[in-house]
Amino acid sequence: MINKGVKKRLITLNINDRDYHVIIDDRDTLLYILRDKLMLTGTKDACGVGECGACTVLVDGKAVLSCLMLAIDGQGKKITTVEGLAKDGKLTDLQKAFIQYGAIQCGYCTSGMLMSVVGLFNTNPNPTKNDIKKAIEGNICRCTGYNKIIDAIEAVKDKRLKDKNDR
Amino acid sequence: MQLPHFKYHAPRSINTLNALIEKMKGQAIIMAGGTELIPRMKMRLIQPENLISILKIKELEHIKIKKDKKIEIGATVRIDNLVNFFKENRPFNAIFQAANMVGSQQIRNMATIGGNILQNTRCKYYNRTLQWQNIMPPCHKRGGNICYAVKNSKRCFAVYQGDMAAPLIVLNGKGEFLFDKNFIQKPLEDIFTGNGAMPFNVGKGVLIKFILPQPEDGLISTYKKYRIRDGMDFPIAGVAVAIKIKNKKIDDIKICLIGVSSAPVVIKDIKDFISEKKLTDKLIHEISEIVYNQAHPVENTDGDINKRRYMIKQMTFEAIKELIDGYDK
Repeated sequence: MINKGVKKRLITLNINDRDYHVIIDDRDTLLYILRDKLMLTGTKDACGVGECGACTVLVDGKAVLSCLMLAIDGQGKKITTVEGLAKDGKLTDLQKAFIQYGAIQCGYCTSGMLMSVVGLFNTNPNPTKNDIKKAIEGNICRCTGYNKIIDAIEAVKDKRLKDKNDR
Repeated sequence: MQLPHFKYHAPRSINTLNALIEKMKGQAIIMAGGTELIPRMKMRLIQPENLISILKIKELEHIKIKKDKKIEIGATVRIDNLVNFFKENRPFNAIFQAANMVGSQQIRNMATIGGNILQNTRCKYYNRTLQWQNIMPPCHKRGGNICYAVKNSKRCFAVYQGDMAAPLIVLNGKGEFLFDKNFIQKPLEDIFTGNGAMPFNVGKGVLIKFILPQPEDGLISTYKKYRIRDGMDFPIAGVAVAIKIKNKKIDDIKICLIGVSSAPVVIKDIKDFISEKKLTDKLIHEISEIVYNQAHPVENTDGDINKRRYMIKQMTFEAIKELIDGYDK
């Protein structure tokens, strides 16, 4: 819908280590730009009001909700979406663990869940089970019942700590 | 869900913010983290012409301990930063407890202390979709004269659910507001009107920072929150307690409730009641009873009102008991 008198802006967003130049409305949320303008549809659109966590992305390494963030506020920040996790087609240990432990069913919550966990590991490499539960409390999953998700995250934590000690 | 159209402004200093507000002549809304404002805008409960984001004002995003040991918290300090700052801080433990229970981790990373305090009141008959708004006659909060929560009521009973207000009030926090180039400090309990439709009496004032006084010897505090799920939810009842212990007696006590009224409820007549009395479980029960009698939730959010009121009593007892038992350890 064209709304006369609405000023458009050209902004630059750094997403997954790549600069994207996009034309936006002031009212556009980061989620809208990611999915509808940049076709980065790994980030999911669900509740739209910050209750489900499906749209979680990282901004400067911290998990935030892209449905509640204006795209214009993303300028000058380092944004990471689920597409930025795997490198050269190789999944990260966390993504592999989600598959291995059956922590995915329909998959709709998965990208948000993964980003929340990456955010957790960024600040706390050795989280307790309670820390893990607290980190993903804002990500609603209707299929797996969370236990398999927590198992997968704990397995990744143990493996990373073991690898670090072996080195 | 798209937002309504607005014009975005992002001043980089308090001076430019002031100039912008003057220029807009009340036609602008101020946004910090946006976690409360954006859902309300998406539901078309507010449709501002101009939106001023204050996140780029660097002066507002610091926590400082001043030379006189007062703590200054900038209005846009994120809730997650508060969690880290007040971790293992005994006198200000209530702030840590409350901050740690705000929303989810994503919300804590985005939301600010200023936004949490100045969040609007909520009601299950007000925070509804545009479709619902279109078919139901407007309530007091939407400019009408009906209350769906309290039948035949002449005022709005929408509930205030800002977690952070209760601990800041019991710890005698003040807010510093910018009114037309003047900085004015107000005790936090004085910024609320008690009317759900217009919850704040700060007018055009812009919240700049919070000031916490130097903690006195023997000060301990805690916060308890009741919600349906153990994460995410707003408080449907909350209790913050600050106690000053001297010679094994309660020298001073301040209790504030949240989620049971249109403003935080500071419990009255409690200090005189406990004066010089011996600390026993019976006394704590009596204090809880006084608190219970001053809590009057109405049917406007999740949960049964009797349960919410009962939880106030229970949480007050647990909070005081926990503080006193933990004091000597």
